[in-house]
Amino acid sequence: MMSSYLIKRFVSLFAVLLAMSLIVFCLQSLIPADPARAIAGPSAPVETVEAVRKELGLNDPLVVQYGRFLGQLLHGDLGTSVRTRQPVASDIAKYLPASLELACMAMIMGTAMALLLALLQNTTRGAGVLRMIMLAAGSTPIFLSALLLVYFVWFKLDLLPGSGRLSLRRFSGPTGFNVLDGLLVGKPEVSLDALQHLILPALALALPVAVAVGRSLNSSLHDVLKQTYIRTVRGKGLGEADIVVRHGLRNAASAPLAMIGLQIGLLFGNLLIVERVFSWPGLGLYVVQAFAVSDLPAVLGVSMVFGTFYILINMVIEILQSVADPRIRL
Amino acid sequence: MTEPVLSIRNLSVVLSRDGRSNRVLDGISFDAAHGEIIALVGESGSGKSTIGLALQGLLPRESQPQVSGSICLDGTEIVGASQKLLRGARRSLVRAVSQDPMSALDPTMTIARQMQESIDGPAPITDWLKRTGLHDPERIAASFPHLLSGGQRQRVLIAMAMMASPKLLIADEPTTALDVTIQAQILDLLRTLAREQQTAIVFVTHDLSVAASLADRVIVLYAGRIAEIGAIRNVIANPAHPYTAGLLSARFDFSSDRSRPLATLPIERGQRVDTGSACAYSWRCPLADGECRTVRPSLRSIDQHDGSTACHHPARTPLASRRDVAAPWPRPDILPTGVALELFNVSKSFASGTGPLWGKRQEKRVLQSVNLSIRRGECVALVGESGSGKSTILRIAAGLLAPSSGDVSRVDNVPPQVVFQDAVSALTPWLTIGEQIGERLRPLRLSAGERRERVGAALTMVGLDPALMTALPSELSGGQCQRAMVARAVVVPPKLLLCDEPISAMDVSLAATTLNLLGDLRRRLGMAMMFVTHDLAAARIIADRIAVLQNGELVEVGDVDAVIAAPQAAYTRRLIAAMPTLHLEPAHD
Amino acid sequence: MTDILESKPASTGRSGEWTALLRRIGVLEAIGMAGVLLITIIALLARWLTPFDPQLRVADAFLPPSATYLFGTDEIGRDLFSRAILGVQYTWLPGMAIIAFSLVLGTLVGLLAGALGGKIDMLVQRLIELFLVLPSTLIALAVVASLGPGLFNTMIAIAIFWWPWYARISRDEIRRLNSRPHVEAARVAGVRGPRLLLRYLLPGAIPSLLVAASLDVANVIMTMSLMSFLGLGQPAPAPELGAMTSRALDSLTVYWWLPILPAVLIFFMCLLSNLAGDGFRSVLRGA
Repeated sequence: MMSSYLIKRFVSLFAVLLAMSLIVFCLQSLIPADPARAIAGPSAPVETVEAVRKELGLNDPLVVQYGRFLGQLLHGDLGTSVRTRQPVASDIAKYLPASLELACMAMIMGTAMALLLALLQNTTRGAGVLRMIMLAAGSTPIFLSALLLVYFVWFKLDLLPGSGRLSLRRFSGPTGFNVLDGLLVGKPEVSLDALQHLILPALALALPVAVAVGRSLNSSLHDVLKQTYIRTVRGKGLGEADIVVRHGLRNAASAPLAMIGLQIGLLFGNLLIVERVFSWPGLGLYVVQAFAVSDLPAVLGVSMVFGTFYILINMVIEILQSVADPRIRL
Repeated sequence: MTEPVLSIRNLSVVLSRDGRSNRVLDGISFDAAHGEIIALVGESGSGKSTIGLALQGLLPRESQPQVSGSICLDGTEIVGASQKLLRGARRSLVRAVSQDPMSALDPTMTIARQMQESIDGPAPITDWLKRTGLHDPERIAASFPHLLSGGQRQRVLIAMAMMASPKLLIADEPTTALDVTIQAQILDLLRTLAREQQTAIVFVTHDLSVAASLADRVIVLYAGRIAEIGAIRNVIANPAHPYTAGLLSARFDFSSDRSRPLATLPIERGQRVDTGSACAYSWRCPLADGECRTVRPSLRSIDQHDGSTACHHPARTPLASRRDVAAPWPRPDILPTGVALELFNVSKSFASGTGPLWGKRQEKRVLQSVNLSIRRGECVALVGESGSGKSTILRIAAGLLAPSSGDVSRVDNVPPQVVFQDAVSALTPWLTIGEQIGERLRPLRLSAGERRERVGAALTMVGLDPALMTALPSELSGGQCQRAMVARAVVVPPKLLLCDEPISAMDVSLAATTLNLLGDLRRRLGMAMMFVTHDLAAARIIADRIAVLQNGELVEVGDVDAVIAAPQAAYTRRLIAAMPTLHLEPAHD
Repeated sequence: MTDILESKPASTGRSGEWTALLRRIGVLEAIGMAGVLLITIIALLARWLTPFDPQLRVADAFLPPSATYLFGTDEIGRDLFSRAILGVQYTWLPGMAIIAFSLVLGTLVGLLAGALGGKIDMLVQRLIELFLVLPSTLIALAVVASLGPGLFNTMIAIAIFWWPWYARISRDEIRRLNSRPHVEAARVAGVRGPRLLLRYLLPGAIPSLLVAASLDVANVIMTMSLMSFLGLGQPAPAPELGAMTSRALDSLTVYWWLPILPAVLIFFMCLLSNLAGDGFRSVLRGA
């Protein structure tokens, strides 16, 4: 059952990636500016432009061009960045660890906060206040929460650093995850410093995740706790906390898991803003800088990479859902 | 008699919904001895389930329950007890088996782990599963609930409750969701376990015959009060309250007279009156007088039996059940030649599961070469248990499903109409009753006035006020919805009326009323009828012939009296034997 | 047969139900609904509500908020409050347009797929799934980056990824209703074709769609302001709230009101529409 599920899933993964590459390809050919003209220079004669055009294969039919584009993709060739003059793939390799570190931290914080919020709402009396807090947090645009964190926690109170990844100028480790690398190379003070830098941007990213997942978990937990089987468990004389932990959470897991998947997609978008506000040297900042100079290959390359991550993560989530509920068969 | 294990004194419960509070239980008092089985009988809304919840301290918190009086369970006071104490009581004193076994087990946990939770310390899980009559306890213990049938789940739930050796077991309609044959086995199991462990059982049911087959004593509830209490045999033999008498005369079994309409209880009409100073039943009671409407009767002992009743005139009660007997039905016009429906060699399969990536999907066969014909004006009852394929046959006959193979022929240009099981969900919530009935008149191209007239006539025919035409379904009671649905089916009388378990979710008196209505309409309008049911007694009342369906195959077709008196198929015999009746077993003290 | 004519239970009638429905809305939700109305009015009349010309220098640069200049002035001395009012218009009206367009398109596509079933339904389902599995914000960003920045392009990019949500809700609701007894009963009674679709199926799907759409208003506004923050909205002189924040980012520690106050306006728009959405849901779904 599992293997046939995986085959099915990979087939559809491939289809989705193909669709995404098609979109990216179409977008590339939508650019109003003529790339051949851009390369040859504004004053070059028509013949030169035509030669460049032929060299780039721009005269070939679109299908052929798309085939070539796919071939390049398969070889990990995402084109060359207009801004950095480097292959997009190597730029991405350089900036990816910083973004992944931030995203992972944000997801961990967000999920933990969501769990806490939902449990508090279902067990304590002050659910109304909690609901207002969640509503307010859920209505805050990501740049506002990021700005407020920078302004108060860093500028006014100076509790935590508000920009960059490290206080050190130069540091590089084997994995690119600074928190991990500090420990690996035996410099725990680096890890601590990296962690301090991580907290504010990760918190800004985690807030919308916590609210959305927390809400979804709360409402599905609320529904689950009204089910007959929970009454059976109550009839056995178990305590409320036991009931929620042992019977509630697992039964309520499906919808919030799906919400986590959805939020990861939104997180990639928010990453651009948070990295911009906190000057975090990751892919987000890279894309923001690319926007500024219309560096399309860079933007599309990063979209492709994030998109692949997103689809893979959602596959994992589907598997987790079936682990949580034995009635869902893969 | 020793000290009672359960002693309820003057229990009252007020529940609130949407800010309106409602007295659900009013002054309930009774005792239960060790090992005694007490049946709580009443219609929906009588408060019988609330007693069970109050006993466990599990009244829903969102309805802000206000409880007064006393529930003393093995020396522990439940009313007003702390949460901690209530948890302790639920753990060791009182357990419950619920109405719907399909949703009463946590779907994400194995049976073994759920049973383990039931008691502290190591639990002899497989032993208990075996004691409840499950054949391969190891496999069941390791399974998740969705792999078990309803009967198996109910056994698991009973094992789970009884393994904690509670002093009291609350069984809230534990068999209504199960097939008749399973139902009898589950009742047996409960009786045996209660006797072995000396557990008292409070058995909640709407069905007096189920109560009779199990209980020692019966409490009849009406509108949150005890109408009558006594030893079950005595109450059935000599009911002292007119309501009990009415329930008894409205219920039907194999001995009921099928040549005339069934006796029914008057249906509750109009708004609920504040009955603080009156007998709650006086608004339905055929014997009520001025005293009944002004003075609330208290529970007192009587001459009929050793129990007591809350009625001013228990001596007059026999008059209630001996009401004027209805005139016999006219003979139905069954045309010997015409055929209203013919199913020839009909089979049906459904795709099941997702199947592997490549290759054919698995198929599940639900009907196996069914041959059945219904003559014009004839009523055939299709009897079978859940999963037998009886609803599939109805849907094929209605044209809602196409058979996988075989032929269906209907000799009529008016397509057959259907009376659905759940009337409330068979009416579109945002359209008025009149609009929905009027849909069937559209092909006739009537003027608006004529159409209104026809709709009104149809409503009158099923016993509804024509003014209800402008009402939305949500403004009607369940019984009224059903009548409206019947009106839609007969506003242009079809040659064939298909009824899909129309009485399965009903209280006895409403069920009898519905059978009378359908029996009357089919004779008056000359309709043939297919009546799908799991209830052989109902089939016997309404039908001319019975067709018994087992696992998608017709195992027996014959005239009603012949099938009931001398069943040919083994399966039919089993169905008949499993029917609960009021014939009481010899006393077992 | 018996002659009992059962009549209407003495109910409160339909107007009574309406007041009961309205009573179900909480105080906060009512404030939200009133707020949404107010925002819409402000957005429609923005041009006449600005105290100063939003495009002209009216005072010294970097004045802090005061009674005259409610939000202070920006780097060239324009009144920030007047610009923010116009910014509300630039955010709210396009947001509403995106929701309305997606809702209508999604409902129609879902209705057709759900009602026709078979191959068409399969095809539409696959298409919807594809849209929903793609990382929409990212691709919307890429689309705008490729088409070139601008309000209209932003709207198109967002709407492309928004309608499939409604198509899915609409399609699923129609399928669900299609197998409900009351639709089956209507079919048995001889109702067919468009009449079945419009009278028996669509009205059942509309509440869920409206609830989803009303709860989505805040999401659309967030997405739009995100794009505007990244410089993908209307180019420079246009007073978009996200862009105002982003352009003043570096002056946060000196002139805090420049980046913060426009963002606070977005916050209020989202908060009010979330509250209104909750109120809407309790009206349509029954708490």
